[in-house]
Amino acid sequence: MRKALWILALLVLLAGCSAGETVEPAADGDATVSESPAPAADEESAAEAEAEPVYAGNETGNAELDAAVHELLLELCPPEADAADNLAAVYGWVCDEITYRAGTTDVSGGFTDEVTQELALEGLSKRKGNCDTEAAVMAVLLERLGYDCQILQGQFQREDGQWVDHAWVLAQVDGEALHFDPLYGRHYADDPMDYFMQPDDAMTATHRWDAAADAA
Amino acid sequence: MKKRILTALLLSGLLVLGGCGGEAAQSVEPALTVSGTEVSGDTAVEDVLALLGEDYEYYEAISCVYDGMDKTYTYGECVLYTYPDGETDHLMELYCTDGDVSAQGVTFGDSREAVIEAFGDGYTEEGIVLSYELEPSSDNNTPASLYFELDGGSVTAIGITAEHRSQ
Repeated sequence: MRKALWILALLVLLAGCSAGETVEPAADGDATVSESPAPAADEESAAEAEAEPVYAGNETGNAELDAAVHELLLELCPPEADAADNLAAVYGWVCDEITYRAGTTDVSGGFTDEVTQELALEGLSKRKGNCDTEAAVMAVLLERLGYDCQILQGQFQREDGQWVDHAWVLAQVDGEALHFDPLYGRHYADDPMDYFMQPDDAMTATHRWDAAADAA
Repeated sequence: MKKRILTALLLSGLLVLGGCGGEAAQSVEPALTVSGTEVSGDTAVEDVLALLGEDYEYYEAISCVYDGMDKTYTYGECVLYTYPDGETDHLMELYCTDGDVSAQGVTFGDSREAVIEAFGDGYTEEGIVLSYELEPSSDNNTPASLYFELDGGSVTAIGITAEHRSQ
């Protein structure tokens, strides 16, 4: 009996030893945004691959950026999903995946197409940036999903009362102009979703901007 | 006699078990060698500036996240990012695209395979960035890291981040 117990103990130890030897990359390392879908193995898969979703919105014309946007949307936004879920997925991705880093791009002349594309491509490829970067990424993703967007340049007020230059996105969703501010939502709000799809009056407590820009 | 043999086998097995399964993850030190001098997340900003020189473009703006100014020093080959903590600026990130810069001998133009050979499999890869992150001391902190930007399978940029508050 004792022999059997010792042998059992050894077997249990052996079983425990063989698990989890290697250090796995962080969970986010499983993301394969940069990889293309695997080639189809049979006719049915080939048909599915050919029927790759086409998003309703506008491309930027920058081939590298458009490819990166498309690849990301394939991952985040299945066309069969609810539109609101896709918007939340895009917003959540920007909140979670872009690490804050000070920007050096001059936006004093506004977010031209060139500036927006430069910032968006940098944000998507390097996953770092400031509010300008996050707004640009947010805007190109939403545009590609079919929503007319503009990047607002305004300010938010910090707890110490200081107003800070800031950028975020205003998008037309079902005929209503709604605000998306992932950076402020992530860093200042109790819930990042507090700054997801918000009307003007939900933003004015913390943000200010040129209201005439809403008319665009 | 049989009991002694069995006990000896069990003890041997336990010794072997003690040696396996604990292959420690390769610990990566987030540090660059710049012109022969090591720069890590603990390096003082003034020391980095002294090393890189005075030929930079300076930019500052009220931080979106920190209480104070974000500062950026852009050189031809490197960009130094700092963040404020009280009255002191700390190194947030040093990002280099050229020059006498390496990380454990890995430098620009080296292959992705060379990076992995030097630093191991404990990396994450997102976008064009392959990075080795340390476990942060707090959930509210961005971890220290050593990272490589890749283009066509070759290193085009090398950088380090120091652990710092995310907000």
